[in-house]
Amino acid sequence: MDISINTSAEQLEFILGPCRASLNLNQAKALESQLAEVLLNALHEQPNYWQDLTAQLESSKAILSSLANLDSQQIVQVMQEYHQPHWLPLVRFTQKEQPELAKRLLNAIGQIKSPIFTSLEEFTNQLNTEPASSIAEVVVALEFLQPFIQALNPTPLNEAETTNQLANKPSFNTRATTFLTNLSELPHSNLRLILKGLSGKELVLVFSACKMLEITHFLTQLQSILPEKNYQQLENKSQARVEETELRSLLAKLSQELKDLKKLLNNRKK
Amino acid sequence: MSLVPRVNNGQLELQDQSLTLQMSLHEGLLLAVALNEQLGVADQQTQKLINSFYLTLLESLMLLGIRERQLLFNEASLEALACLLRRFRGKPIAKALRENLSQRRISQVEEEALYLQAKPSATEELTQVLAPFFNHIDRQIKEGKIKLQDPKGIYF
Repeated sequence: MDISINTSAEQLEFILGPCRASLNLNQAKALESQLAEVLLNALHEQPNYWQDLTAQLESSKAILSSLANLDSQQIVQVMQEYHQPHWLPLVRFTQKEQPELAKRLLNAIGQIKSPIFTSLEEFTNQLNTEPASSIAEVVVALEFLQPFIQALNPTPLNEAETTNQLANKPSFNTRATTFLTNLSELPHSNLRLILKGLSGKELVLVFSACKMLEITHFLTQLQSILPEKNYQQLENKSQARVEETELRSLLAKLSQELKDLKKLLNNRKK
Repeated sequence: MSLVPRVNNGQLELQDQSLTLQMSLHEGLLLAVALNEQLGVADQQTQKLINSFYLTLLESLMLLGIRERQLLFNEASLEALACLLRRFRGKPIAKALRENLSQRRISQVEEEALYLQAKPSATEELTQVLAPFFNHIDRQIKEGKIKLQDPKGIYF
């Protein structure tokens, strides 16, 4: 684009490619200072963007300690179930916060033999060559870790922990309610695919959980998705209460099914 | 009449009451330099603006993956590299830039007139030397090959 400016008497005449504009001196000065400001901030996020993320990271990084409390086999399991693109931000952040744990994560990645996963060698290469992971990716990675660790949460060893867990219970139920409610709002065809991945026992658990947490919308959905006979069977087998450990593993299973479904849908788009 | 600049999707937009004109950030920088000239702003001030613009850009490039980054600097002209290394001589960003160049290329750059001696006018340098470098980056962004991140951010 051709850019030039000529000054005549009180006016500045702009030639900007195919456009002409004329500004008086004050307008030109205003443009000059705004232009400098805008150009120098072009790559910067909004003022609070990074502060907000830092606060979020502070509140979610405790999950690393829960991760560190798992045994090696459990860590392998978590990494295997965890969404692979989150590995990079998780490991990079862990290398900075808890280097010992980072070594265990790398070790776990090395033990995953499935060909659908990146090998340790490839992953180490990614650590060194991929673009810097922003704090935003780390925050998301840590959030996604939560359900997997909860599913594996070891049984409490002492009374203090038991009390602690009881205190946590309402908030876990709230999370479960949010998750199941969101799931119930999926289109029928998608929800059907997710339910297909569940065993009969797990379906009964879904039913019971929805009864316990009073998520009637999910029950209505089940009624319209399932044949009448199957729905009746579920209703008869269901219970009014679900143990927390069962609820946790059910949620982990459902979120894995949801992720698989997303992957499937993404592949279809391609 | 007034013109209001803003950045949208990596492009600069100039708006008046009824129209929006879109240009690249680099063309915006060129406009700012032309405007400074007409308004009699000291050359030192203009050079400072160009340096700040390129400092942010280079810092952001340093956040790219190592291969994309080295490829990008490899594709840059010797003149553009000479110009950038001269502008940031002795600064940490010049050191970072050197680390992405081969020894051979560094010696070639150091022989460039643009590195060694006094500079052409800001406008000449921008249009002839730096614009091709910037436009190449801009194309890579549009093709989705690279993404520029905020260098003031927090990264791991």
